[in-house]
Amino acid sequence: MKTLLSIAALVAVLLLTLLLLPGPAPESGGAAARGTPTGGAPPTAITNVRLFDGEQVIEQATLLLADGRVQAAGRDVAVPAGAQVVDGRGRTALPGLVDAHVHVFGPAREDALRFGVTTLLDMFRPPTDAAEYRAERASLAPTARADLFSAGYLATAPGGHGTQYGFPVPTPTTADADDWVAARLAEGSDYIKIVIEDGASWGGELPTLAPDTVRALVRAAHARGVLAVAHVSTRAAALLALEAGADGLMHLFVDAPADAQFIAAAREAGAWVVPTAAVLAASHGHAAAAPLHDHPELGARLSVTQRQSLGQAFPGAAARRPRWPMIMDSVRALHEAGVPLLAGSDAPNPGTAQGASLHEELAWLVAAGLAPQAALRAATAVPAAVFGLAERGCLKAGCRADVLLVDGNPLDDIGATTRIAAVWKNGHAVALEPAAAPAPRTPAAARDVGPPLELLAQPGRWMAASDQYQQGQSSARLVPAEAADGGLVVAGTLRTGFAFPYAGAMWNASEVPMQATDLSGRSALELELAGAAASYRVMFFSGEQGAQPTWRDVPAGQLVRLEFAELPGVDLARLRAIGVFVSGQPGDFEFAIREARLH
Amino acid sequence: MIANPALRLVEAQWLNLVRTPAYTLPTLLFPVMFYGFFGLVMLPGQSLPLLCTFATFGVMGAALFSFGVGIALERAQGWLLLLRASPAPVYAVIVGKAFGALLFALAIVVMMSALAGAFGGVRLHTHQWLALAAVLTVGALPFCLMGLALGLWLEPKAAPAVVNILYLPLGFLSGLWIPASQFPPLLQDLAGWLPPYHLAALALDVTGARPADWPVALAHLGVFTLACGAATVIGWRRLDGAQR
Repeated sequence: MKTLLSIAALVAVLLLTLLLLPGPAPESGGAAARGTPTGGAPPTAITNVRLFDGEQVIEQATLLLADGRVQAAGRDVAVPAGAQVVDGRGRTALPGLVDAHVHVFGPAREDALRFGVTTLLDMFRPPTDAAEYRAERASLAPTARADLFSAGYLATAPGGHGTQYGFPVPTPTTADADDWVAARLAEGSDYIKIVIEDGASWGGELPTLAPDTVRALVRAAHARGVLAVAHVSTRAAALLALEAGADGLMHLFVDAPADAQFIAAAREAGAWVVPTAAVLAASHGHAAAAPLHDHPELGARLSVTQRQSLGQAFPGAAARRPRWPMIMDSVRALHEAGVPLLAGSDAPNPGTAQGASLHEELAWLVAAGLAPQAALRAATAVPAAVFGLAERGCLKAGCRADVLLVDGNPLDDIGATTRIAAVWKNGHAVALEPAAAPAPRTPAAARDVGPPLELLAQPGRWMAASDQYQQGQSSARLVPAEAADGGLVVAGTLRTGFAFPYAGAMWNASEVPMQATDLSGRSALELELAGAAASYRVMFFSGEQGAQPTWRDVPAGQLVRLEFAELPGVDLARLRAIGVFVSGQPGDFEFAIREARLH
Repeated sequence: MIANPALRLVEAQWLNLVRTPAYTLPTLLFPVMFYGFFGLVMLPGQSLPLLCTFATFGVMGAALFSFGVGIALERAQGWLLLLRASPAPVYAVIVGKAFGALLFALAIVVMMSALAGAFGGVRLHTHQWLALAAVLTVGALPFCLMGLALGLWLEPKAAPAVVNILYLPLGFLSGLWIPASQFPPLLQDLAGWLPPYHLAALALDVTGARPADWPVALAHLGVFTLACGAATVIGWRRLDGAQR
């Protein structure tokens, strides 16, 4: 009898323990219990959804959005009367993604939002509209644009990386580092970005900040209570950044593996890394252009601007391809060592596209060895924690109602993040299609564009062009027609002093230089060049004003035909100019354009 | 005092467990420790699904070892022979043994649940905690039968080794340590044919971690139970013929 009592007592204790185990947080007691939230639009309830709240996964959850915020998220959330119900069965709700490394120009914020990237951390742009975007991101009003945080101008050496984009960049010195940082914060910068880039990883040479200047900038940023983040591409630069006290690295370095010494230094410094695998893939010959163009989910929704940046390529990328496995290994080593990783694409660099490339970045992180959940954290909770974005990267009561709803389970298959079912920004559904869908490229045969357009027959449209336009030192001139022995002769001098020196001639599509002209229907550019250089660079300027040109290298001494079907970055509906340039070795040059016509 | 022979054997089994803590405690603590390492320390953020799969693993172990190894040893020691010579009916022998296994199962689930709730941040409704314990305790029965069959068929010396070599790969291949969805396709297909996979699926379903296809899972477990039952019956008859 005593024995049976002992048994009964033990079973009772076990059952009692079960009764005392913790239950879900009473999240349903929030807004739902208080009835329908006030404030115009009805709340949105996503029901029966797999919910990734930035940290954990909750199956069969309900997510209630109202008044621009998450009102409740969990398993026992009551759906208030009048709520707009979205069936989440078979779907996963993710916090709106954070891209921790972008450059915001043109329609970047619209393009990002349509792909579920609701917060952009810009790492260099002119800070002309800081007041505007700061007000926008504080608001919970409906919007078609992702919220923006920005470094404003970056800190670089005169003529260094970051000065090649055609607008002046104020450069700091060791002595005035504090003033320089103060000026940036006064302009509205949210953090300070410091460039440590000597060009060594890219087969070039660039002026870069002195170590003392880097240290002074980090000190000044920290003294003013903002993060100091560093652009690096070499292990030495990364170690300098850590030693100077930088909070994080905006790229993984590519000249050497992330070895034990670096990992120890990063861990000791408590630093994080934004590997930017997407842009490194593009600069190492893994251009995502083709896969993303043809992507079954993303391809059709790319805007013209996204297609353009995808269609570009980094010079010499293919030659760096052998380094790529090391880069993936470094990402894995950092992750395994517990160094926090943040997802960032560095869009819209060549071979990347705003928004779309963050999905590619997540896939790269998983390919490198992160669990899908860790990769998703790298695009949500981790950047939110690191950059102090309290109400972002999470889907818990009180978080901003920025939601990416996808079909399938990205926690099993990270590719599911691209199967975007819906996006909410500030609790309002976002239109997923680009404002102006890219006009399907009309086949030449289907549209009569008349006879080939002889570009050399329009001497008034041609002008000399060089990197002087971007504060370079090179020069070029068109040799007067009488002296030319056929075609258009270009002469000049290529000088170092700019990251990628170039000089040559440019044909403008309109009477006004660089004005967009609709030349859609043209199928190819036919070109014959004569000169001493082995190859010349043909650049197509099109689309948005200031967009990166699409280029191809062509040999001299033969008739070359460039098909626009193979140049997806060229927006023929808004063609601005076509340039022919020498680049590379400094020195005097002369070449002739013997044939140039648009078919 | 206790007239019912089944209760007598339950009592005997209880005393057996209480008086051999060197056996009882490791058997109980091993799966719980396993969950602590993998479910809480190594793979944070997966505490709930891993609670379900590691608890399945622990329950399966308790059933296989107390029956498989236990019966084989008792056969060797002659205890089974003595029991069969005693007036105790066969069912009472089985009930006594099953009681020990189910008690182990319940204790393992409860300890793991407490660990998950205290350190893994797992939050479930009371009915879900109870459902998890119920599914896995009842779900231990087919594995008790499997253990019984093994115990009747195996040489006493071979039993521990053979049970281990079945238990560990079965647990792994059923996706109890690593979710089967992370397996290569061939192993994923294989997992769907293993009984522990389906018991874990039920556990995952009642906790809301992952929906399961109940008819399919129950059918698999039912067929498995019948197969083990048949092997047990044949094994028992074989014993009748052999033990002279």
